[in-house]
Amino acid sequence: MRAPQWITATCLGLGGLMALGCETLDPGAPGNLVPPTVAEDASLPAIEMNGSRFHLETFGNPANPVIVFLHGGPGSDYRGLLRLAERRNGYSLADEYFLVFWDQRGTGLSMRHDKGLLTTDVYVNDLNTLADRYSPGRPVFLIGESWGGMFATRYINQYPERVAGAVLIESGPLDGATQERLKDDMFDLDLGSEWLNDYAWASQFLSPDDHARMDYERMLGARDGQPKFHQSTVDPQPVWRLGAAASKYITEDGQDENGVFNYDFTTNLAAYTTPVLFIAGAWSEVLGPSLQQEQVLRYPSASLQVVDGAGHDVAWVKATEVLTAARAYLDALKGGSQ
Amino acid sequence: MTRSLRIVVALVVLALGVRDVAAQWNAARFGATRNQVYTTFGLDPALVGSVGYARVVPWVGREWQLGAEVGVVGAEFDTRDFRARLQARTTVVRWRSVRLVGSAAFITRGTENSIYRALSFGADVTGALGVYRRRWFVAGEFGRDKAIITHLTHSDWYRQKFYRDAKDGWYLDAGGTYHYGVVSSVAIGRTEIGVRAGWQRTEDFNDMVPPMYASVGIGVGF
Repeated sequence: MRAPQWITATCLGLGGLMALGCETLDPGAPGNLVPPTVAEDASLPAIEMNGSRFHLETFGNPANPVIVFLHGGPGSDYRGLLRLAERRNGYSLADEYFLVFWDQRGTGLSMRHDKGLLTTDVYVNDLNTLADRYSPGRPVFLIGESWGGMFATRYINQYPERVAGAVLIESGPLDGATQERLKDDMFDLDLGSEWLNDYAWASQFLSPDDHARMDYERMLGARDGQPKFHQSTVDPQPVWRLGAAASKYITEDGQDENGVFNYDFTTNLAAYTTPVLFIAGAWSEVLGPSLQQEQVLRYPSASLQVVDGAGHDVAWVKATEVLTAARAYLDALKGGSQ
Repeated sequence: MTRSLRIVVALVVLALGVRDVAAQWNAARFGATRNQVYTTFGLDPALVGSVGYARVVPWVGREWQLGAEVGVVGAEFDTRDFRARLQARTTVVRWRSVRLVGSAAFITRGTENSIYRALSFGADVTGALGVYRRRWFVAGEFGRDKAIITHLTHSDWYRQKFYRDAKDGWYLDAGGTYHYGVVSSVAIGRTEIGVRAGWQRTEDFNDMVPPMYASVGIGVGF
């Protein structure tokens, strides 16, 4: 293959000349395109468990009841939930609860993994270990957003006795049949759409051949790819890193060999009689009020609160309202247990 | 009927009325006339429309087709998403009507999307093995397209939503793809109508979005 070598060498030379005097960067190196994870930056807050290293922060008194936050995705991270840890209208959940925010396996600033360790069973085991660590011998509260609502339900379905209560914000579909019904509405897949062509065209610049470039590519659709989610463009819900591998493999874990969603996280929900609070953003078309009205019925005891003026990112743009609703729900649970 | 479709139909009708003057996508017709102008449109890998000019010149005992082409991503005719190619093609090996045609291109690409603006310099090397007759050819192609060096400038939105400290600058060896498929054309008079379709994978043979490419083109020789 003499010609290809000649051409490649020539073009490398041209590229080298152009870059002469400039520092060239490695797209796969930590910190260039996407932030370093806890595996690469020891200064980040982290814990070790189940053979991995997780990005994690806690707020409040460890002696208080524990709330574990479950972020969206799969593949997103907890950065966009941190407003729920803030003091708003003179109240913080950390006054009464011990708040645990963590980036799920392979996401955000947590350590990356390949396919074999990115399954829902592994995720459930991670949550179990986390609950044991911070709330040994007593159940935890769960607050989950989007995929986090699905993850919370998956956990409750398996371990109902370990969950003291749950707030599910804009939860994704709790079973595969519903996911199949809604999946075409999740993304704007018009071949002529600007974002989709940008996405396809970007493949000529960066190839998703390592984790950093896979994650970077994944972020291309974040602004315009889901118009029916009606997320804020002036106050975007922040994310450290979308974990492409986690997103891909956790999603595939809920599908059969033909790519049809076949998971069902609701088979044992009848065993969970504790009230559950669903929250939806009024503007959210796909995972909003209409879906949550259906999903409320999957639990023996659940209610829905719709927050005006927000889409799927209601936990970020209307954090005060979400916090108020969550507080009222948790207070009611306390009242019920007294 | 859209305006662009009318233009294509008009070109085809024009071509049918003029015979025996060659266009040169088909390497078997390089010697017939020297020049070709052409246009292509297709999923490559975004919706790209392009125009080009090519000229056949003899060099070291071979006929070489040297060409220049510019393309723009068709969605909303976004001129920030463009491609410019300088290309050379020649028959590397020939046995009767069977030829291996090699091409090499220097490619400049630009894009601007929600998370970055980029300018990239790269190269494409492709071989096409097939049957080349005077009025038609069909060949299987295999090639590698390499983004050798790419300058990235991150958008304010990316810094606000994702990563404030993302590094702008020249990225070396950021991307590359393999493509393999079928290329063919039919010559009618001095006009040649070509199609090209196949699959693309990353350098590590990972999946891409979209996984395929497909384009049609029409060229006129003079």
